[in-house]
Amino acid sequence: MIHAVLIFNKKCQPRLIKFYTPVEVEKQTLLLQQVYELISQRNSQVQSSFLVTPPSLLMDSGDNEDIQIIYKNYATLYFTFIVDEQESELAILDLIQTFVEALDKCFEEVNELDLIFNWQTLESVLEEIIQGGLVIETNVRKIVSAVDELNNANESENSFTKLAGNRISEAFQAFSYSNFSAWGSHQ
Amino acid sequence: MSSIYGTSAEDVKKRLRPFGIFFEKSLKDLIKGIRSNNETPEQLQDFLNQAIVECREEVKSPDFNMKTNAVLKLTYLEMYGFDMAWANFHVLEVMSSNNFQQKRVGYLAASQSFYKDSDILMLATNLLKKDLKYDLSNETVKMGVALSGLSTIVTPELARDICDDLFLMLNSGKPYVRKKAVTALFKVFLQYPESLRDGLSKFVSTLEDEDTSVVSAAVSVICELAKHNPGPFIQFSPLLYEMLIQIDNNWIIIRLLKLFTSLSKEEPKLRYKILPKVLELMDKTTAISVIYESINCIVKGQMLEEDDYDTAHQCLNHLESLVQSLDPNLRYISCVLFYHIGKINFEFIMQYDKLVIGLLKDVDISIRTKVLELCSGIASTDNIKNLVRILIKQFVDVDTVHVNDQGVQIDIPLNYKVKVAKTVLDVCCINDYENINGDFDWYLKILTDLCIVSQDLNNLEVSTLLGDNFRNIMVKVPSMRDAALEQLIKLTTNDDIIAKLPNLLKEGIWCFGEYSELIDNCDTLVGILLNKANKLPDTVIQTMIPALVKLFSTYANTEGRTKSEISDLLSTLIAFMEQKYRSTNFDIQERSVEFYEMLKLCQDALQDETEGLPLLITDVLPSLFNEYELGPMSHGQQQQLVKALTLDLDTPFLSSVELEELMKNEELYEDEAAYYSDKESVKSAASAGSSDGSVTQDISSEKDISMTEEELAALEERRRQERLDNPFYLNDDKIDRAETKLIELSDNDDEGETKTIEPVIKISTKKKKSNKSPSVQILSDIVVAPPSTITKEGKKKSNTSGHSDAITLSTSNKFKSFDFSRKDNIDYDGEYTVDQEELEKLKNKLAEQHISDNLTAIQDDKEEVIVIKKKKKKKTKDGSKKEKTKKKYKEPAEKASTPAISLAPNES
Repeated sequence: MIHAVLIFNKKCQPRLIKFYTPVEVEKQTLLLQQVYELISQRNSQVQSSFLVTPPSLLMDSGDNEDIQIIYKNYATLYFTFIVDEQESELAILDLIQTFVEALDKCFEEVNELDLIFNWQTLESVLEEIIQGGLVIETNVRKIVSAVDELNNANESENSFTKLAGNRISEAFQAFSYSNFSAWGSHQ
Repeated sequence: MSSIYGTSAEDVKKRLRPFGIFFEKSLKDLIKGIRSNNETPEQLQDFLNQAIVECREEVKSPDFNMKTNAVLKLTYLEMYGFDMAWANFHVLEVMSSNNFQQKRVGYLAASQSFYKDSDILMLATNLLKKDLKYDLSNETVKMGVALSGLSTIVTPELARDICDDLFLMLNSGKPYVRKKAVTALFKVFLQYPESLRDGLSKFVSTLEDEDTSVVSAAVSVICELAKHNPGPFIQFSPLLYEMLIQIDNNWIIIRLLKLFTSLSKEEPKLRYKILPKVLELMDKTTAISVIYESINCIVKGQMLEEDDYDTAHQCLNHLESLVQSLDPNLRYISCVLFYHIGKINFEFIMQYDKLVIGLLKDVDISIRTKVLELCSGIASTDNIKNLVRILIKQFVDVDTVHVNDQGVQIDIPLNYKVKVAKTVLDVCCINDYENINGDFDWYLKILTDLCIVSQDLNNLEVSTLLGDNFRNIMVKVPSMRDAALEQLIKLTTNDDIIAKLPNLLKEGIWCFGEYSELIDNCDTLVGILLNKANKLPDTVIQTMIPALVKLFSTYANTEGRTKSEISDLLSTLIAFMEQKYRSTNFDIQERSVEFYEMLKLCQDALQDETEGLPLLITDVLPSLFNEYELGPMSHGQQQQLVKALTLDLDTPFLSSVELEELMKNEELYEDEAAYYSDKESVKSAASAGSSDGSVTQDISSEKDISMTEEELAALEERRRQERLDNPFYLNDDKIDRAETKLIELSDNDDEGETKTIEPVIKISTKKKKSNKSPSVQILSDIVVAPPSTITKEGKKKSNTSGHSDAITLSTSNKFKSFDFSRKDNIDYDGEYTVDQEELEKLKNKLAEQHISDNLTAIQDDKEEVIVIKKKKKKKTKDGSKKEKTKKKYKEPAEKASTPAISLAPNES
């Protein structure tokens, strides 16, 4: 399973942090820091893409023996995947490549600046590749068309929902604006 | 569809607005702000704090656009460490929006923050069920977004409530929905295993789906589930074998191989079925990743047995080329596999010694580190010198490696060097120096070199190991003692080495003492050691004290020493002991006090004796040290002996009855206590007198000396008898002979000696044998106790001690322990139900939170008061007064327009 995806640049500025296994936010930040420090010491040109010495935050608990950190460096960015033994190392490297290719398709010649200002696109593309820590799609064309479909969904949708009568959402809205106090007093 | 790759600016623009165009600007502003406030961490923190404050306001806005925008920003800001769990209710609102893009933002935020809050999940259940509802009117995109969001937040309750909906979705006509449903079911199964038990065949049938993505997702899910509990899937293995051979999608094949790894670990019998299939696949495929995973499957799935040379060689054949690949990734992972195969049985990799030695020069340090551990497996008499040479060469700070005709500079980290040092010692020492093949001169050089290069490691462990190895040579290889001693003296007179490798010195000093017969001028050595003494750590001083006395004893008993020389050395030593016996270190204190007294006696005896040396120095003192030759002892023997001893530590000396009696008696004779104590004192006085006497006898009267000699002889006889019975004593004639030979030979040949150090320590060297052949005698370890399993608790324990801050990356689940064989305990009632009462309570709680939230914003200080007030009202007034209350807490304007449909309990 993929436990987390971290994208950050060479100054350790986060571009995307996605955890599929619950981890507290403070520890997420700390882990990013540790991973960054370890990766930035490595020579991506000649060394492998595997972070062989895991960060202390993962090593200390003793339960993470099969956890691997696999990363790839693209220009100024590091794409880092934290995975367990059920994932094949080579497959994850391919997956990172697929991810970047998909982004490249979306942005046409993607660069860090694109990703900085389009974090939501980054999230969307990733969502079409990984769901809850499992890979759901590896075909770049399908990934991009799924993102497009989601982005275009709004126009066709409105009339439809009105017909269907979105009672629950209306209920929630009503609940939050007018009837809050009413509820409170009613108990 | 052509628009996907369409180049028109419009299309691209649209694609980059996943969450709608309204709010894009605002998130963009935030990001711009972060970028322009990034000069110092403080500045950034200030800016982010401000942004959070703004979001707190905006998220309460009744304008859904603004609210959604705020939620989106909060989701983004979690990346900078701001937990957004407090906004969960707002997230839920956004999730429930009619606008699809807003819903999308809501689900994204929910997937990030809902997992911590089971209360909010309860509220969200209805909404989720609705969004997942599988009928014609529901859109694919909405289901997709809900499924994605759902996949990170499933709790056992939620899993129970939605599993039926997800199973229904498996019938969807759209592969997109099917693959997402299959994947979402993974988390559901983990939390609510009953659903898999009841729908197993339905779920497994997705393996035969016509869409590859769905099949891939299903295999992934089964693979992940099998990691936790392979049991339920073993029955499907025939179907899975078929797939492995039939399918031509490498992603799925790799997944299947991972699955087989788990299955084979659980059910070793499967090995006979799986192994041939995997080997077949390995030979058939051309994809490197599949070859790699096949081998990985065989190794990790415990399918490679210790004596299965055929399979091992088939795997290694493939690995050999991978290990030499130019791709560092492939090289690393195949090297790890190579390592694992080697660890199963070193014999497998014996023939690959050149490959391993080549990898030691790899540009990637992590590869070198891994391969180091294999060195002891491939080392042999033929390659040891080359191997060690390569290793020793790596004690540099920066190594240059040629990759593609380019020199690449790589830093050699300290911990790697430490490992190298250990490896060198390790490969040389295996099986009583088997690999060295008797060439101890070479090994001694290597040891000396190692001492010099490991100075800057500052590693105590290495210095201990080096010391141990020098000592082992001294003890185990009699013919090398003089040469080794010479090197040791050279090393330990070097101040740098002493400071950096204190434990080397410790063992060195022990050797000086133990083999002092080999040293001609012990007095010089004593002088050197005493000079350095004040710079040495306590642990070294401990060893040094007896060693000094040993040196003295040898010195005094060598021919040609004048009395005054001996006396001088003696006073120096006494002065040293005197200085040490106030040490705060207990061991030093004890030893120095003991030897101080001893040496004092010697001094007195020396002064009293008119001609020749006193017996105390010639006989008694050496007998303290030279009684037995120390032999090499097998590791862990002492511990086992302690265990083997039959000591009854449990039975008290006196039973309670006896004790009572004794106490009574004591009371009875209390009056006579004076008598007893008198008697005692007389006794002790007598014994004191006699011991005094014996000392004086020793020194003065000849008659008494003969007595003592007789006594000594008797004692000696008794001791020998004891020795024969006592397993602690080593009575090896071979050793004795070797030793006597050494002692006899003196100064025959000094050629090996170097005279570079000013205070030359002469070592009595015997003629160098024309050896360097395997004929060198190596004393093998002595085993005195039966072998028993040495406890390894200590090691294991240190592993489990976790760090409180550490992250554990495992999802808590019920799947692991779930018993799939039991079909009876179906405990869900088919219908989804949420306890209405609980739901009401929750809503109420959130309502309160929300109100106090709002009020906090307005008037911080009065928050508490108002809440209390409200509670009062709840008690005294009922529903009829709701208008009033509403007015009190209402936010200005807006709400009048919202529709009145609600889930409020008063209406139900």
